[in-house]
Amino acid sequence: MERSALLASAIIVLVVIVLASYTFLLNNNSTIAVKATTTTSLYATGLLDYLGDKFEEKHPGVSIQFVAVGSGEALRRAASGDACFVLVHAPSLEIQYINQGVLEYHKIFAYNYFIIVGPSDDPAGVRQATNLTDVMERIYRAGEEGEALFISRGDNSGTNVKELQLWKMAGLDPKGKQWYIEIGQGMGETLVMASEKNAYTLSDIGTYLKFKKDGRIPNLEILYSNDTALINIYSAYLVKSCSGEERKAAKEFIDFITSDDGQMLIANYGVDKYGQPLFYPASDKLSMLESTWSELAGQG
Amino acid sequence: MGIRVELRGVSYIYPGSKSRALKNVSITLRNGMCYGVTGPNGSGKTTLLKIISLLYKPTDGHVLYNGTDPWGGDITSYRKRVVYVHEKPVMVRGSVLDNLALGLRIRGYNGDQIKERIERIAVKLDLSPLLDRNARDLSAGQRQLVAIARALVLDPDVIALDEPYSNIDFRKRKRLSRVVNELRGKGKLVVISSHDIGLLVSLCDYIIYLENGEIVLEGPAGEVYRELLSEH
Amino acid sequence: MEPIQIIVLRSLTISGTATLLAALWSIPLAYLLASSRRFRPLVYFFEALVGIPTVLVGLLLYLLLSRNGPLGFLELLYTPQAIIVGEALLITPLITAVSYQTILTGLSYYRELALTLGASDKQAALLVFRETLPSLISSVVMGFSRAVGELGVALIVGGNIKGYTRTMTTSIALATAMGEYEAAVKLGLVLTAIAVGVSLAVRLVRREWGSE
Repeated sequence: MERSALLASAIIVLVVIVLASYTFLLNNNSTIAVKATTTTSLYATGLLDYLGDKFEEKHPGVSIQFVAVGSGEALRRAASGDACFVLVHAPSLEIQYINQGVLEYHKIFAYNYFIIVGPSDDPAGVRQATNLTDVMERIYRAGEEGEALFISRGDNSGTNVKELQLWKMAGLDPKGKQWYIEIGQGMGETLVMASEKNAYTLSDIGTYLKFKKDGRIPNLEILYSNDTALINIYSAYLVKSCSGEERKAAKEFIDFITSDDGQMLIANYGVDKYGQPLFYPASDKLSMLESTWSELAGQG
Repeated sequence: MGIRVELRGVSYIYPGSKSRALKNVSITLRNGMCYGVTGPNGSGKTTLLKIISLLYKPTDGHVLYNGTDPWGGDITSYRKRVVYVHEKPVMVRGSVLDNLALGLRIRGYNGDQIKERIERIAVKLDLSPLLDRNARDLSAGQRQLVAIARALVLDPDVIALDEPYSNIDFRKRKRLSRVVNELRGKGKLVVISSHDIGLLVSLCDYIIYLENGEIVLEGPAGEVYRELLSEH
Repeated sequence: MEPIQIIVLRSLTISGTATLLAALWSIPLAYLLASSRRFRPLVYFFEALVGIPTVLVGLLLYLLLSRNGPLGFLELLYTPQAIIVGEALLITPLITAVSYQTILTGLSYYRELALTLGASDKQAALLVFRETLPSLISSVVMGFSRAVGELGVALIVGGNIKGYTRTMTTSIALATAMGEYEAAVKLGLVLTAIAVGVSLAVRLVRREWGSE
C-alpha cells in the first residue's frame, strides 16, 4: 500500500510539473503571433532573429515567428496560407506567386552578392575567367575532364534557382553529370561538403563569411565575385490570405525593416564580427535593384 | 455441501488449433473423492483439469456442477468454488504473504480475516518461515507449495492440482498427501494429474488414463493399476 | 540562441506530454489486441509501423494541418501542440507493439491465476495491469526516448520557431546548419544524457519493484 501511495504521489508530481511547464513554456504569451516563412541561408546568418528582437522591443505583444525552409518551399507554404509574410531571394519564383495573386506589398529590403567558391588551387581556372559565362564553361570543362566537382544545393532554394540560371545563361546542362552533385541540403552543409570534397559551388556571401570565419571550410576560397549578374536580392511580401491583427503586424514589420532605422540595422549587421557587412541596405539603390529584380524575374 | 462435477461429451479445441485436445469425454466426479489423472505427455491431462476448473469452456459438450451448467450462468460465482493450481505456478510481485492473500483480497476479505486464514494454512503446509520472503526468490518446489496454499486458503469445494509433486521433495510430499486426505475427508472433490501412477494409486480413489484426448482406461485405483501392470 | 535550459525543458515537456498521450491510448489498445484474437492482424500492422520515418509522419501531419488542409481550421501548424500530436502518433506503434507483447505474456501468466482465484474479468484485468506495470512503463519510456530524439516531426510541423517550438533536436539541426558545431554537440550530449538518465531511472525503479 505504501508503494502505491508513493507511486500515486510521483504521478501527481509529474502531472503538476508537466502542467506547469506547459503553461510557462508552450503557451505563446504574446497576444499576436505572426508567422513568416523564410530561407535557411537568410535565417542562418542570424539577421532575422536580430531584426525580430528589435521589432518586438518596439511592439510589445507581437511575436514574429520565423520558419526557415528553402525559398521555393517558403513560397509554397505561404501560398497554402501557413505564413503571413515571406522573406525570400528568388525573383523568378516570386513572380509566379505574384501572378497567382498569392503575394502582394513587394518590398526589396536588402541585397548582397552570390559568389563562386572553390578549392584554392582552382583546377578549373575560375580566377582567370573574364565573365560569368566563362566561369561556368571552365567549371563544366574541368568537370568533364575529371578535374573538378560542383556541388549543387538541389533544393529549389533561391541560391539553387540562381545557380540553374547561370548554367542556362552559359548554354550548359550539367544535370546528371558525374561531377555534378545535387545534395538537397542547406547552404552551410553545401559549403562544408564542397570544402571536404575540394569542389566548386555557388554561395551567398553571408553564409560563406560566417563559415569561413568559424574555420568550417578551410579549403574554400572566393574565386569569382562582384559581378552585377551575381546580385542577390532579398524581398519581403505580405501573403494576401493573411488578415486582421496579424496582417497589420506583418505590414508593420516589413515597414520597419525598410525604414531608415531598419536599413541601418541591416547595413551594420555582422560588421563587428566578420569585418565586412553581410548585407547591403536596399534603400540606396532601390531603382537599380527594382530593375535588376524585374530582369531576374523574367529569366526562368 | 460438496460439489458433483459431470462432463458430458466434452471436446476442446485450443483457439487457433485444428485438432481436438479432448475428444468426447464423459465422466462423473463425486465429492469426497480423489481422482488421479494420468497419461503420456500431450494426452490432455492439463486440458481436462482446466475444463473441470472452469478455466476453459468446452468447445462441444457440457460441464455440470451439481446438475447445472456454470457457463450458462454467472461463471465467476462458480469459479469461486473451484481452484486450479498450475504445475509451474506464477507468483505476483511481493512477499509470500501477499501471494497467499491474493484470492482473499479478490473476494473482499478484511485484513484480520486474511491474516487468520493465512496463518492457519501456513502452519498446515509448513510455510510460516517463508511468509516474509520475496515470492519470486523461492525455489520451484517452494513455489508449488505456496501456490497450493494460495488455493486452499480460499476453502474451495473442488481442487485441481496439476503435477503437484513435480518439484516437491519427499518430506513435503508426505505432508501434502496428508492434506489431500484431509480434504477428501471434509467432502471436497480433489483432482490430481501426474505422470507417476504409483503415487496417484496411493493417494486417490479413482484413476483416469488419457491418451490423445480420450479416456482409454478408468476405474478404481487398484483395478487400473493391476490392469496397467499386466499390459506392460 | 536561447538558453539551453529553456530548450531542454521545452523538449521534455513536449515529448513528455506526447508520450503520456500516446500511452493513454496505446496501452488500452495493446490490451484489446492481446485479449482478442479477432484484432490480432492489427498487431502486425503496428509492428510494421514501428520504424516509420519521422519525416513522413511530419509531412503527412503538415498536409493535414496546413491552412488549406482538411484540419487547417484548427490552426495547429507551427505550434508545440502540433509537435505533441505528431510525436504521439509517431510513437503509438512502438508503445502498442511492445506493450502488446508484455500484456500477452501477462495475460497468459496472470489472467488464469486471477480467474481461478475467483476474480471477475475486471479484477483479472487489474491484476494483469498491476503485474505488467513495470514492463509497461519501460515500453512507455522507449516511446519517450524516440519522441525526444526525433527531428522530422518537430521540424516540419513545429517550424523550429525561436522561443516557441524550438526543441533540442531542431536546435541541433539549426546549429549544424549555422556551422556552430560546439553548440550542436553540447545539445546532443544533453539529449544523450537525458536518454541515458531516463533509462537508468527506469531500471532502478524496476529493481526496487522486484520485477527483475
